[in-house]
Amino acid sequence: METNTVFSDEAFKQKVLAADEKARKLWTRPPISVDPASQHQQILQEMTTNLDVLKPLPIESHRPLLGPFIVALKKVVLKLASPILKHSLKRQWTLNELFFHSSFKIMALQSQIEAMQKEIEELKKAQP
Amino acid sequence: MKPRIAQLVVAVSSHDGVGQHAIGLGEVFRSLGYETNTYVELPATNKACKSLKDFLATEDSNTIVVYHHATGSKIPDLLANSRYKVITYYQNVTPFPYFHETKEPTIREACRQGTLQMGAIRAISQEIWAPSLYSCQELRAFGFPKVYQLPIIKDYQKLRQWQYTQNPASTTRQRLLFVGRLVANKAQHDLIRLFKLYKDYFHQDTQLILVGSFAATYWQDILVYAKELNLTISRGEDASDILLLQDLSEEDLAKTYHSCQLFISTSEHEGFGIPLIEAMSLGVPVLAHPATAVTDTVGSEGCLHSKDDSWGFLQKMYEILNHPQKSMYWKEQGLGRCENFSMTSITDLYKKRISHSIPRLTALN
Repeated sequence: METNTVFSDEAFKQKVLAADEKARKLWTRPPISVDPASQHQQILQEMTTNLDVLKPLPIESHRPLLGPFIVALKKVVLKLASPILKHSLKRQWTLNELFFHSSFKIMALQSQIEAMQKEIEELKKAQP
Repeated sequence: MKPRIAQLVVAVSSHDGVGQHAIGLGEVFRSLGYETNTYVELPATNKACKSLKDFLATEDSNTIVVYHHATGSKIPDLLANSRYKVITYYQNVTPFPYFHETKEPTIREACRQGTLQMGAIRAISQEIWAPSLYSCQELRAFGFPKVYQLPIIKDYQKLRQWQYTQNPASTTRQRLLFVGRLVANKAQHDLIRLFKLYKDYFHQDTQLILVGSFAATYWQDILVYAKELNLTISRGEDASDILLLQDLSEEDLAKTYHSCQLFISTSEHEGFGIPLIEAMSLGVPVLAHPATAVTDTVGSEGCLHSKDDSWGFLQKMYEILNHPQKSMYWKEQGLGRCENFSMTSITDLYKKRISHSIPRLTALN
């Protein structure tokens, strides 16, 4: 049978789609849940993105008529100020990176300390 | 003097893409004259691999570490407290909400940890490699500065050494295939739904073959679903509507690909997609739902259509399965796509990357 003949039959299409709907409903596994940990992931993502202070900010305005002029003005001001800002931003970027790396190293150390504390407690319990 | 290379991976097994990639990468390093070892976190099942304890005992801080990240692991914490220079190969982590809170708590927690460790990975890694454009984009969203796309190392040509002659008595039968673990993110339930519609309304003598491990409890839900849809499902009975196959040898896998007319994927999350390339390299047309890394693995050489549009998806299935010229078109497209994933192309990419990255990392203080 030609594809065009099969797939141009509207009544047949509706029949197949009704069966599809019925089959979908029979799948009872709960839909994908979202729990606080995924919010944590989102926060982590935002944090890592915002660390990069050298990334240019989006320039926008929500005013209906003055908007384009405000955007143009902001662009000019930012371009003029960029040689001055660049140096400070670079210093901030370096600091952010150092802070970021150190904080994760501290987190890793913290989990190691907790594991060691647990081990010590278990050893203490095991002693006669 | 060339530095030593230590590869760290959670586990290595014969059917696991992550571990097999690590073994392949080890061979590339050796071909370039590097001394290398692979260390595994879980008890080693592969004799060529050593344990993490051996890693701490034998490797000094001049060793360059290649860590393969795909799930929660204690390796990132271990590396955070060291002076090793690290390249992370991000195989991608399945989003944990795909796994059931009470039925699959272990795998769910492992994936949750794997995602939360992304910050630590950024802190420990001097460079990140990832197999797909999708994974690279995800890493850039996490703020990783040095990200390079390098596909998973696998010799797809090897599967071509086995050919299969179709039984003439079964030529009216149409066989559909999907290869991948039975887990919720691969959405085999959607595949079964579409298969049911195709079988009931377009071609009665159709069989769906699912190849993959049944470790997660998801497959029990699949069994119930198949029963609800009045489909027979079995682990090896060729007469059933849905045939489940597990732990196939390379030869049997190649034969299974050859016995099918269409490879269908309704998967929602893939970090790369080895079976898609395997199918294409064996001349099996591919029809897939364009999600995550499926899109860039298949490229424009596979037929992509959203599974949410069931009618359109069925139309594509019908065309490929019933019109030889359509089937031939997608077969040839797929074979062309595989040129990008030949062993020579892949190893050349790695050799080029390694020749830049290792000297750069060695020079770092």
